[in-house]
Amino acid sequence: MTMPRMVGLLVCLAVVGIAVVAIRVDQTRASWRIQQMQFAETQLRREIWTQEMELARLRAPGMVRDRAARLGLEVGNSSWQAGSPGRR
Amino acid sequence: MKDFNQRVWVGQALIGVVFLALLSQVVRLAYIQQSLRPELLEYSRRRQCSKVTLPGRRGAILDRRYRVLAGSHDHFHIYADPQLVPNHAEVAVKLEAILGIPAAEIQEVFDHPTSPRYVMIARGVSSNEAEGVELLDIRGLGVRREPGRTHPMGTLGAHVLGFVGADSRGLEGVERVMDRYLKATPGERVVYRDVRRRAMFQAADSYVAPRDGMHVVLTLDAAIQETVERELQHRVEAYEAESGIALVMSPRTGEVLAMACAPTFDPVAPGKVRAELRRNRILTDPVEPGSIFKPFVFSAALAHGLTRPDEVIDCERGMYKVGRRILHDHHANVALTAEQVIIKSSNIGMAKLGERLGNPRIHEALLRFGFGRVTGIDLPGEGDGLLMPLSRWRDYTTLSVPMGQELAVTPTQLLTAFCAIANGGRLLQPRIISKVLNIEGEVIEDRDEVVDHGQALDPGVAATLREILVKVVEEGTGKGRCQLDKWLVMGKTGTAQVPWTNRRGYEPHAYLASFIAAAPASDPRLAVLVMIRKPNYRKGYYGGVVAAPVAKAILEQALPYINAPADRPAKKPVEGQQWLVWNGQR
Repeated sequence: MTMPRMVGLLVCLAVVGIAVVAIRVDQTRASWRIQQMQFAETQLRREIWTQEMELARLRAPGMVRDRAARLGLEVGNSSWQAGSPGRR
Repeated sequence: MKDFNQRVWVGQALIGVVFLALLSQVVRLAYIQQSLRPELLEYSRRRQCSKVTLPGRRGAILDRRYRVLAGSHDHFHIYADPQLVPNHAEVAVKLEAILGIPAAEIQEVFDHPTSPRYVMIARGVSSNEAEGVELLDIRGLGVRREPGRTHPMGTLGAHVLGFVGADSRGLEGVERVMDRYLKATPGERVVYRDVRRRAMFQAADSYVAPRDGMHVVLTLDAAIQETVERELQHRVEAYEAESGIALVMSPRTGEVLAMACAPTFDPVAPGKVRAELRRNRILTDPVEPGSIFKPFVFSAALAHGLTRPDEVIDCERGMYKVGRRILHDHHANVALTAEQVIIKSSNIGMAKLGERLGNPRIHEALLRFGFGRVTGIDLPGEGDGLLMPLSRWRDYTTLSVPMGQELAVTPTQLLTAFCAIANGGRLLQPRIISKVLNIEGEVIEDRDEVVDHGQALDPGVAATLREILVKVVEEGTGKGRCQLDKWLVMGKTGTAQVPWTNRRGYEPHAYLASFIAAAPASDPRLAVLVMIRKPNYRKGYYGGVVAAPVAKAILEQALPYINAPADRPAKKPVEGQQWLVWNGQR
């Protein structure tokens, strides 16, 4: 094997080595980003759950009734007054 | 020369030894590579990697208008490794400021841990509290998130929804019967950890996303349910009753719109109440119904042509002796028309109709109404009541069953049968599960089909009976208790004595006050059953007094809510008044 060929081979090997390292770095970086996005997705999903439950709590008929009462609106038509059985 | 040869030999021997040593290492490596490889790889993986379970969300339970009755969100738990926590007393004081738990208690947990490396400081803390603990950034202290069940509407519908166990599996109610749809499939990922077990990065292709559970839509309406629970609870408290139940159904479809038991319980902490309070008594507990049962036997007498509404029946001045048995009426009626027997709830009149019918025809009619077998409602634990086989019916049974004695029915059976009277005679299966949705909201399973068990009653007889039951409310035992301004109500009162559970006879002063109704009577959209068990008899115990007003309150709030058309005939305007009268409304 002549010297130029030897050098050429070494250069090729070096290039391949660098490329492998570069690809590996990219892969690790991408994998890290995917992991971060999966974390974020999990967090967002949980945040959505919490918000959905809060919305559900606000839509509860009892809650709506209380808010309406605080606003001075009349909701329903219950003639019942607690603690007075003979009223009706 | 000899020395030289000896040295060569020693050198060759050394080389040979080194060669053999190297060869043995090669053999050893080959052995490790070939034979121990899987085992060592597994060992290495165990040391470096760990599998993290990713919990999915259990599906929500929704009402018919897609309001969330039960859902899931993160619950936060504060834990600690007491050996890593630096200064127990100082940390305990800091935690007290955030969690509100006395520092002494926390320090006690640190100093005397139940487990040396892991103790739970607080369960189910708020997100703000969890954030506060995280911000402290104290070594050995951590926050664990776990999805848990939550009920945004509080205890609403607790007996229907049921509850889940610590492993998030449904144990009662809809949670149990629909568990296979509601439950989530957890995901997982594998992470590489450093020597201190801190997660570094995720293994490639190891992420499996969790799959959330499906949502279950009920026929229940949260607004009607809230009304029913509120009114029932008030009444139970006001009359110091032992308990009460209320059930609202659609006679057209068999859909259950509300189902409530009082007292109720918190489905998040079911263990705090006795097991019998968690039971859905509407399904499980049969009761001797009393007078509320009379319309079913009366309908059989009409259907067989054994009486007419205007036929006059001798009511024996309120006392009727049959053999050794003496029957009494509440009022000493001389004679009543057949329809008045129902309107005034005469026991003697019903006993005489029972005698005309005879046991086989009564039994057959009750079977047609679905008594003696489960209704098939899609909830667990339904009882089939107690309807003796005909062979065990005696002469007394002929007199007792028409008055609602000597048999036991569940409230579900009772209202299901009453719906048949209200809807023209069709016996419909009660339903509470409407749909199953996937997480995108697409319908996976539709259970909205009406299940018809056939004609329990001739439509003409049903119409006649409806008219009579309207008179019960307008002029009979329900008069003034359940009349509505815009709608005509058909109903029947009942006041039954409560039998002893461990011996024959009835408990003194123990009554079951009940009222069953449907409205608008011209084309019923809602059927309601209210039962108040053991009210304080000094305050009142008649069905018309104790239970009917609850049904009235429910109907007068629920009928406008579902836009039921008014059917009460318009009142004639009094002379001189200029009001416009239209459809019952001024």
